[in-house]
Amino acid sequence: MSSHEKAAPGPTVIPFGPQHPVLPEPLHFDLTLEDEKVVGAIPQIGYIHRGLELLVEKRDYLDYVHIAERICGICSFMHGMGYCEAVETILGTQVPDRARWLRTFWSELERVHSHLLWLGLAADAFGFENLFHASWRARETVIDVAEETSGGRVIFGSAIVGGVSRDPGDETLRRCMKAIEPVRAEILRLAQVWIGEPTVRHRLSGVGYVSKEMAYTLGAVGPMLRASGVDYDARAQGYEAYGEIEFKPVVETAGDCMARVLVRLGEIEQSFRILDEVVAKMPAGPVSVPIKGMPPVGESWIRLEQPRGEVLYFVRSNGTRQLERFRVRTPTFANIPAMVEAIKGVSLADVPTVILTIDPCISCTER
Amino acid sequence: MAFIPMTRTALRNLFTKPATRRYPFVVRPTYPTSRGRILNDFPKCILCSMCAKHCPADAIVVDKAEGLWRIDRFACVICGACIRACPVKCLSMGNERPTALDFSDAAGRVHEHRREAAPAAGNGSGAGPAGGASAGA
Repeated sequence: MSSHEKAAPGPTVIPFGPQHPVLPEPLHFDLTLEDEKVVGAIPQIGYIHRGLELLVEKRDYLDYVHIAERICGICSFMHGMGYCEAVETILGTQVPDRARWLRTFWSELERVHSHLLWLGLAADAFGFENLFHASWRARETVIDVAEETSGGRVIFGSAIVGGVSRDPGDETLRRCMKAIEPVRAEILRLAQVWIGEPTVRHRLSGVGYVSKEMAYTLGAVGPMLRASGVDYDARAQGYEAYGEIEFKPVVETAGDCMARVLVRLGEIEQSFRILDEVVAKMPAGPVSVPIKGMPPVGESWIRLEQPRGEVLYFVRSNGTRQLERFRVRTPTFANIPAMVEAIKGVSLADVPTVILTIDPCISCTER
Repeated sequence: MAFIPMTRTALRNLFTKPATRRYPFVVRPTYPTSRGRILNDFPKCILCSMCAKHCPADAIVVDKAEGLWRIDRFACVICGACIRACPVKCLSMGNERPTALDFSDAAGRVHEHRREAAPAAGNGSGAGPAGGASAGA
């Protein structure tokens, strides 16, 4: 009869985000909790939609690459490059060899700086400030190298339809590889902390488990997929210069947050090896071919491996200078269903860590 | 043993210089390739407005009748599309970066070149004297 007696509380719903200290970008969750345990999560995006895909109908198809680059602040070069590749497929353009290798160089540089950024954010998510600062300090050198070679620090602006707009020169590339040598050593030291430090392990091991079947069925991509034991990397298709480079996808089998950290640590080291190889094998020659006239009627789609996972670009041309449709399927969007499953069962305090381990990029997702 | 790597990093932080600079006093020089700002060698410019047409940010305004070339440096994304589009190669990329102080007033944000005697005026006299005459009158 009294209010005390009927107090059998149902599950609590906690709004998480879009403004939350741990989230670098706006993402909202309605978390259903039983005690401290999350039993349900409903994601909601749509806070920073900018309508960049629609702009393709209004801009010259050669200039749109600079808008495509601004879809994301971290994998910017690869967005520009993916758009260029899709348009080049319609045009039937053969990109010069040196441009293909330079694109590979910048893609891998971007992967290193994206993963270092993520390592910092993930450390920050569970309160390891020193590790956060150390990761970002290492990243700074990588960004300087990007500036020296392409001119831009995060928006490289060097991908254009028909090749690349800048040629840093072999001498600069070799000097840059020397300049990031200390970063490699620093990352090895940081990797020891990530792997060996008990507090890190305590927060990450066994948290946010995604099984191999679940990751595959829910369409997870990138490090999220590889951390669950699926050996898939879109670079293996051999686009740009990847077909001539030796590499094996970094795969872990544990499927938890720790495995996703290990995959990214392995990929940083792998990217450095690829960068070494690219600089050593860089062919001479022109870096772009002139593009003239209108694109023919047609459509094409291409897949790339971004730091966050596989991304898909679709382009349709109607024969004018403005394309009819440009569509991006971003890795974060593909990873959200698996992330929702990973969140179920963890405690509320671990939710930021699980969200961070998919490396969400909401700007990409909403465009 | 596991604590040693991070302890070493933490201790090193105590005895090494800060990773950051005292910014307004110590400025990192830019690289020759850095994207700083778009420069126009105006005497060479033919005011064809190809740059304005290709600008993805609509930062450039060209008015041939008025002899005007204007760039809004706040809107400019320094992508270099105008430089590639320019038929007479009068545009170039400068590597010095504008600072917040440069943008503090409208004169810093909007940079414009103006040609005194527009070809449309067509009174046959040279550019210099025509400009001077109009100023005097």
